[in-house]
Amino acid sequence: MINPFEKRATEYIRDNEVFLSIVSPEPLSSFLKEFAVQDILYDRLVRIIGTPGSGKTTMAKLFQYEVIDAALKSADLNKPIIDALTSCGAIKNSKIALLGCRLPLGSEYRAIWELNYPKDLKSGLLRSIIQARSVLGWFRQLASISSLEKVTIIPRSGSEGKLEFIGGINGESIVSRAKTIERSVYAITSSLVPPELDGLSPDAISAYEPFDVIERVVVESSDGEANSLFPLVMLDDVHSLHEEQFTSVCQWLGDREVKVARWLLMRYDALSAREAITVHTSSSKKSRDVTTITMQKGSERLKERKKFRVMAKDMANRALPKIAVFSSRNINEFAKLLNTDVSPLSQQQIEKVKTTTNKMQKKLGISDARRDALLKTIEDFNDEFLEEEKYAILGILFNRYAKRVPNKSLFEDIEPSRPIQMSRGIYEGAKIHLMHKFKRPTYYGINTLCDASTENAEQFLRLASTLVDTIETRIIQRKGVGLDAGMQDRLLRARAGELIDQWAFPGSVTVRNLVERIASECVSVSLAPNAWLAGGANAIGIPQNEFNLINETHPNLAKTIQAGVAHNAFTLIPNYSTKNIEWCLIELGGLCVLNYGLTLNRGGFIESTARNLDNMITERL
Amino acid sequence: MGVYSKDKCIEHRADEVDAFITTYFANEDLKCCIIAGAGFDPRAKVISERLASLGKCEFSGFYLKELRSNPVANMTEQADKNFAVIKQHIPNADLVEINIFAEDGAVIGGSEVCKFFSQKDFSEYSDIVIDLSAISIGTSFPLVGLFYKNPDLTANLHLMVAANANVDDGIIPSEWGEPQCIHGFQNGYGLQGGDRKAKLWLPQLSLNKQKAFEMIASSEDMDDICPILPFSCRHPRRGDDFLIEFMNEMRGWDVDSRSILYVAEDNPIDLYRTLLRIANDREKVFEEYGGSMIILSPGRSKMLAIGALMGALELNFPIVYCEAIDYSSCPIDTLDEHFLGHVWLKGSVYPDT
Repeated sequence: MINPFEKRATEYIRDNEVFLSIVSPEPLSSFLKEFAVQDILYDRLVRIIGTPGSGKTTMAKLFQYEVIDAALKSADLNKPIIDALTSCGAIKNSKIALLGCRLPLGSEYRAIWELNYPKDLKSGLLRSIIQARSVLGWFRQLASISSLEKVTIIPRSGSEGKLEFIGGINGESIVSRAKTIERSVYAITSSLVPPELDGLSPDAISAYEPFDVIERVVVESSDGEANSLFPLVMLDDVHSLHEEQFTSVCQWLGDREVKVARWLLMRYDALSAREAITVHTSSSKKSRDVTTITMQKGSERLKERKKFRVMAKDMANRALPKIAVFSSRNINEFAKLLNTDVSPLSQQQIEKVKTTTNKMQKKLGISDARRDALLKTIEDFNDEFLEEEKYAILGILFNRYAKRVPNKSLFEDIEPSRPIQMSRGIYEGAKIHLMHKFKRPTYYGINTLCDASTENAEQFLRLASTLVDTIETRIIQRKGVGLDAGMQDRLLRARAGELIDQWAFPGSVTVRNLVERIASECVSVSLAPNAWLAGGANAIGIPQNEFNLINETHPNLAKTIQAGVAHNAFTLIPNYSTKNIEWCLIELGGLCVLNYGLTLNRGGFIESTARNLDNMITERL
Repeated sequence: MGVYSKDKCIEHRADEVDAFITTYFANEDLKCCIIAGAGFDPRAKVISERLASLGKCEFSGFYLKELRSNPVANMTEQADKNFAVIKQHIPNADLVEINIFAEDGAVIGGSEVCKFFSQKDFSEYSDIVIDLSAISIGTSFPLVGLFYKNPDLTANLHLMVAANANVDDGIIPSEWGEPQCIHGFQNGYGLQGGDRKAKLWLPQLSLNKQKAFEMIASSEDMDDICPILPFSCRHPRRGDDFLIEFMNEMRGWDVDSRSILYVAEDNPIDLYRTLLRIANDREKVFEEYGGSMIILSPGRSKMLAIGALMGALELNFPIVYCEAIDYSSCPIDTLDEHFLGHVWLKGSVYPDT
């Protein structure tokens, strides 16, 4: 049995029943339900945009006919998924309403653009092969439950004249025609040297438009009952197409005359740098012709973080029982395996923290009376801080005090210009200091794991897998169930580093440069003695008006940011207002935060400029 | 039995290559066109040097410079030096720049090289030597396929290579493109219509290819995976080193030791014959169940790449790979001896083909 925590495990799984037992229905509720309720999921072009591993393909697989059929056949086991699909309109009255097929658009489709033919002809070849394969995908699924003789189509009114070009209304002849079209286009795209224009097969260039013709597909079951299905095609990895192909496909499928439901699944790098940044940072939207659904947004982040935690926990709890060691012990709640109690530092280390703080007091010339007052401030805020936390916080407060009384003489006690107050942020800052100076665990618990995943399902699974492997080994070795905070922290940080080292996507070299530079500056600021950014920084900001122009002023930087956003290295937060200036924040992704030891809390950033960032991508540390 | 079964294949290895060049290319009536790489790879000049110094016939050539997005400065310098050396030996050498990527990052090297050479006339040549030493497979395979499948080709077609495992290991890609078929080597891969064939994937394991092979494994639903490892190789533990590198991947692919194919590292015919045998056996087994498809993914070894290429050309295997977008390191010229290989692929010695 494949380990469901391994990367993209759901894409390996051929068996629909096994797939259904692992996949979480939460994304359907989170991303699609609101549009289904408004009835704008199937009547117009839908663009679903997300980073790799965000769950687009897994979500699309759930809408495939054969998967819905498998879910209904074991309705008792799949109730949450059936409910989610019903809420999205894929199931009505416990019957399948959609005939969905997913078509990944790989490099083969992009290669059509390189053929030495007129643009119209190239667009025509692309449309033909997409439609032929969609038809084949639809009918292949039906062939497994019914003879194609019993499958017919209902043509769109007024399209009867085009029936003969798609093979008529009968399933067998439609499939035969689709196979012919596919082979004729494939023969062109797979040849070493494509044929001359006058050598093209008539089938390859014939008018073939099943999307214009097919309105419904009717399947007659063995008991004579006819089920009318609404065809849905999901074109995955549309970002692989050439820009002009992409535009042409969007225009074609955006036409309201096309009756089949059509979804385009893509990464942010399918869009222009400008649009990618705009779409990433705004809420999902609809227009008359297109519904755009973004799986991760820069805005509404708190809401997204909460939604993702629910989804990730559900995913993990479904996956855990698939591993024999856990199922045999009835362990099915992942969160309980991740202990959140932090052991105090050793006495020796605590003494070191105290010594450091005491030395700081002496160096800054702070009186004992002031020290006691600050300690009281800390204890009033929370009297349950561990010793090392208390002294680390005290060190920060010493530095804040010193900054606010710059002109005082040694050991003179003056009231600061503004009172020194204790806050949650200062506590977070102290934890970062303790992590870097004393290797105190910081990253542990299910919520931290979810937050470090940057709302990306695959990233969650890849981080979680290292914890699951270790827990599994410990159970076998009878070393107990569960993992302490220290072990979780070490494993997660190491794993994050490995995953970053494995980056090999186009543009990864410059993205890595930029990440290293930003992270280095964030660490410096986070370790400032007065923790002036409280929990520290995990982002760099440039003025929004500069950011709006980077496509023109710093095109390499724009491309690097686009690649980084597309692969979860960064998240963009535009129009972030502070000190009466609007900033666009480039926030490091969860892997970078773990690897470099930064805060997962949002909001702390370093002010910079587009020019500085542009220099960073060429300079190495 | 394949076209290049043991008795019929004209091939040479190591010292035999020099002897072949000295004998065959001594004929001054021959007119030979060399097509080779002109990049940073130190092997780029080896075969051309050998031919020019040992042969007596007229040589000219096309030398391919593969253009990638952000070459490291010393790579461009090295490429220029290599071509300067080539020019000294082959004065009629033309440099041909081939864009490997389009502006949007799509891989176009294979189709570009086919476009260029399909417009050239080779009828004046008696022999064409394609030197695979310093050309990436995304470019060299379509190039060989173009000549091999040309029914009007009158010239003899030779493949030559200067193999060196240390150099292979020193060229480290830093970024990979998406998995795809080599141009012209789709051979039914991805066709939706028709019976579903039983897919066997044969990745040839090499250092620094885990990421690429992991992407290929994730992109397609393979029914079986049999990794290819070198056995009988000049560094005896090389196969073990690859196994250790790929330990996690093999676990994820559910491969056990019985599924590993061992082939001689320096003998392309061994891999070629192994592929033929497997294809023949699988056809018999899967004939009634839709048929069999063997999918190849060559590794870094140039000699084994020739074996894979020969099998693919003869039996129409799809070849899936990931194009290297960039390289993070460039090997310096090495004092290691290169291991030479030659296969006479097509021509007067095979009257039946």
